[in-house]
Amino acid sequence: MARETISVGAFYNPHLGAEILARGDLIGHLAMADPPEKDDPYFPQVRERFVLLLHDYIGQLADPIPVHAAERARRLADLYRSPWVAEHCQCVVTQDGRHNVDYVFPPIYTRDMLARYIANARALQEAIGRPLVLEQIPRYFRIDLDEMSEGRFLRDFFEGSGATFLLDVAHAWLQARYQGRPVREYLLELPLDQVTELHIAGVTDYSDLGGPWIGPVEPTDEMLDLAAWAFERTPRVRAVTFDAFSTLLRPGAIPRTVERIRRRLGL
Amino acid sequence: MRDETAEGRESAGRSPDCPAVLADSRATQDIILRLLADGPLRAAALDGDAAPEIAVVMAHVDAAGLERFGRFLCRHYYRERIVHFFRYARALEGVTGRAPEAALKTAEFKALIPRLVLGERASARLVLDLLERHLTAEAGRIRALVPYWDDLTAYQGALFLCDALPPARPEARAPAPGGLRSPAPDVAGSPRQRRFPGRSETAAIVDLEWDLPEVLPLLLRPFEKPPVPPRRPTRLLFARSVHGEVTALRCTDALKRLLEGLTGEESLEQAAARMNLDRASLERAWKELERLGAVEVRD
Repeated sequence: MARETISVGAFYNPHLGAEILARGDLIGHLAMADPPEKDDPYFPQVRERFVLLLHDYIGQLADPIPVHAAERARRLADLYRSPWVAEHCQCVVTQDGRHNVDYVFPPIYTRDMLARYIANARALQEAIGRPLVLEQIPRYFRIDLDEMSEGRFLRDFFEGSGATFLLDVAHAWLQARYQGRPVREYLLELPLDQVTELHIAGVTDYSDLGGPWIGPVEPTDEMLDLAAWAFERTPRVRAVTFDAFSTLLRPGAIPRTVERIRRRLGL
Repeated sequence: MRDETAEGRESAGRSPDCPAVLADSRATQDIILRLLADGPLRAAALDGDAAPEIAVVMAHVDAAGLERFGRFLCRHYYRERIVHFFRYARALEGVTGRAPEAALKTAEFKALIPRLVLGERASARLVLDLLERHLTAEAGRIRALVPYWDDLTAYQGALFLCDALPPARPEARAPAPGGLRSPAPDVAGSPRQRRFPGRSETAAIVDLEWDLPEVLPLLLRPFEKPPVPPRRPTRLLFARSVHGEVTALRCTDALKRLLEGLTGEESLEQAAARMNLDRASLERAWKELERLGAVEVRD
């Protein structure tokens, strides 16, 4: 696909709906993290004007997706006319449903977990009737229970399921940092040739973690440079998204960041 | 020392003699999730005072990192819920000067973290007690500006508490991967009419002095002076569906009587006869209340 057809967009933040609509010249698509509120005055126009990407919580691929969750995702994908649907490479709820960390957290990378992810992703894609993209999730603390690297897990998952990769550059930066590795070396282990969508975001410091983690902030120039480096190695990428969804996001942040992404990536 | 070469990473972690608990990686993942979600369990594990299967997993994780991430998740979990359920108090922050989420930055909350289990009702109650103190202590000036402040706190608190899980149920058998998970069927030999409808443990009825539903949407729009609802007795029902959706709706006297009449100890026919209600009407009401999560069936 020609590089000029790559869309640059952001997450739909309803409290910034007016600004987003006003900058339709700049914003090519919107990722939808939540269903639209009934009384959102902007959504009807947003739906007409933008390509919308379903990026809601559908379910964790470690377990079979409940029928009602797949049906909900299908309805939302239809409403959005979403060309693909996204899920995270995460496992956040125990099998008995009693414990839910309610935040992205990756699985341990084992052969039987991989088999579960592949089988459940196939079933999900069949139920929704749309292709799936899977976003990688960083791990903050060391767990020595993997049977394979994250890169091998993702590559085998994409080969087995037919899904493709949503590469989050900030997640990669964090994963490399907490592994104590050069981020570009880490990125080269990931299946960059499978990337359909690229996420770019900032990171922010958290006192509980004593360091940076995912945050709804604008990316630094260093992060944009890393994104540009990754972008050059993702030949099949179709969309680049500023990944920030929070009521903390202030007016100006989305158009400013989309503009910076366009400039840095030459889009 | 950890092998950081690519080859080392491919094979890291498992050895041929790994304990049985590690052979099922989905079960192992569950232990990690429990350690992150359950403050008392994590504290016990860090003290070396956990069950053997947990100790086995702990031997394979960075304990200090686990503790830090568990604390981070705890604060994030409650912040998300406060931002959502206390959004009306947040909208009034410019008037009241009290952001509800600021309660999570207090030393009191920090001290609570090791006692909290994410999603658990008793933990939600502890956090809600803190929130209520944070919002209503020395709030005379706020009440002068927002006379329904205490009702608003009670309303949002009811939503917050309703979101927490009901007490544990027997574990459902996990389905095999590769399909979609169907809803649980009716228990064999227990057709619907032979099961006993009862008020759900997460359902709550709250009586207010002010008609809050009249004002809530206005609070989320720009205002110069806080809008004030009519002052009249208002009763609301709060319910949590099996999918975790929390709903608040007006509760008439008839609905209150109905909910109080569904004890979970008698069949639909028996309940209809005792309450002098038409069975078909009662069943329709039951189905709607079950969808909302206000009523559950007990075998």
